[in-house]
Amino acid sequence: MSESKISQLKTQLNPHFLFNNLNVLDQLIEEDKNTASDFLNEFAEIYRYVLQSTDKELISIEREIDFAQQYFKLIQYKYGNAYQLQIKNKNSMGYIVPMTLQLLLENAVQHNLGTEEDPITIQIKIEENIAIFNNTSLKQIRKPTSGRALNNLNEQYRLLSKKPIQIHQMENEFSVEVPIIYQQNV
Amino acid sequence: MTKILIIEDEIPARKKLKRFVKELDSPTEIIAELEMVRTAIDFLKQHQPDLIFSDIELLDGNSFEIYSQIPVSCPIIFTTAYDQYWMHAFEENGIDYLLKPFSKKRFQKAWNKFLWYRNNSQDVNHQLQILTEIIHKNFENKNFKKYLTIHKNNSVYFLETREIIIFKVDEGVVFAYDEKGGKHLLTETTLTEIEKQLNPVNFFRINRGELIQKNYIEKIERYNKNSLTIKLKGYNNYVKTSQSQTALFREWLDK
Repeated sequence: MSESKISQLKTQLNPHFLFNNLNVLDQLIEEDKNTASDFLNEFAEIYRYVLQSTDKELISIEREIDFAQQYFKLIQYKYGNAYQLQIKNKNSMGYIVPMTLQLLLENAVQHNLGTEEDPITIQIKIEENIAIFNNTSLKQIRKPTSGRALNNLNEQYRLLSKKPIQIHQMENEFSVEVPIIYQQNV
Repeated sequence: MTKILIIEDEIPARKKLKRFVKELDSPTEIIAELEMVRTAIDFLKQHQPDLIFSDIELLDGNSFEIYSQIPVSCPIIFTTAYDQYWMHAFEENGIDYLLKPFSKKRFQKAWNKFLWYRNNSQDVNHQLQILTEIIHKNFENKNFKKYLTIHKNNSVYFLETREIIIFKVDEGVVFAYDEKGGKHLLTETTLTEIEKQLNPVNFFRINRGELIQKNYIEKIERYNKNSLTIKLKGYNNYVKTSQSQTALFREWLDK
């Protein structure tokens, strides 16, 4: 397994993510200094996680789930209840490629139009696999996406576990199944 | 009172903009806060703001799609975390580009630019508007005839105007000569009546009795100091511009 290949495939956090969140922070400072402080600390943790994960091939599911929840909070600061997250965790043993859940959450928000009246609910279920699914409300005007991020992720799993990611696109639901990796070699 | 439209999909970013707008010295009114391409298009079909603050990446697409579908005449200040769009922004009505997060000072600078723009361009805009109206009146809204109806004996047929070389008045009746050598008697009795129905880019009245089509001009020669002789394709006689029409004729040729 070539490590350089895997590091090439690592997904990077969208660089505009930083600037968008600084703008959110700017507003929160005006509204309420305690909220602003909370936001800043959460954001710092997210950034630290992202930086650390770039050196790691795998991370424990538990940590990735914590990270996904923190990341999702930022989304809620921006869009209110237009997007919702539910996590059902029956098995938190095992490992996962870091930033997997972040990427899938980002994808779900990017491709589906959630509103306060008609929210998008994203669910994460951890059983033999990790399944992420959401009701779909595809954006009418769709940004041309290459699907590169998802392909990259798939390639990493193929290199690390020989099991591919499974993607199911149904009329009203989109789901991705990600294998859990047990042999630890981090 | 400046009517402002905010197009922004993130709640905190919207609040921040509203706060900055409220703190301005000038009287302002935020007429709507919209978060989607679709709703912005619907809104702009019915309303005319004085200024738009527009984010670029919206929940359901990119805000440039709004401006490509609805021609907006007011200035736009783009607000975005993305720095790769600025070229595109100035191709629209963008007068400034605020990179998030932006300070109050930077916001004020954009606002000053808007005020300058508004005070200095109103006259120009007004004149442009008048000019546009004139052009529309003269060209777009006018439906020039593509066919003339010709009555012959007890039947009616159509004659395509683009096939007509020349209209000619002969003893009080008007004839059209077509490229196939046909000669048609028209119901109109004056050339002026016919001239009004035809596109002035293609047809020109060279003298009191003759109206010719540009495409059929084969050769132009000097007749004397003040008039020209014209040979038309598919028409055997030479025609001649009248003294009063010669200068206009030259102008028309260049159109």
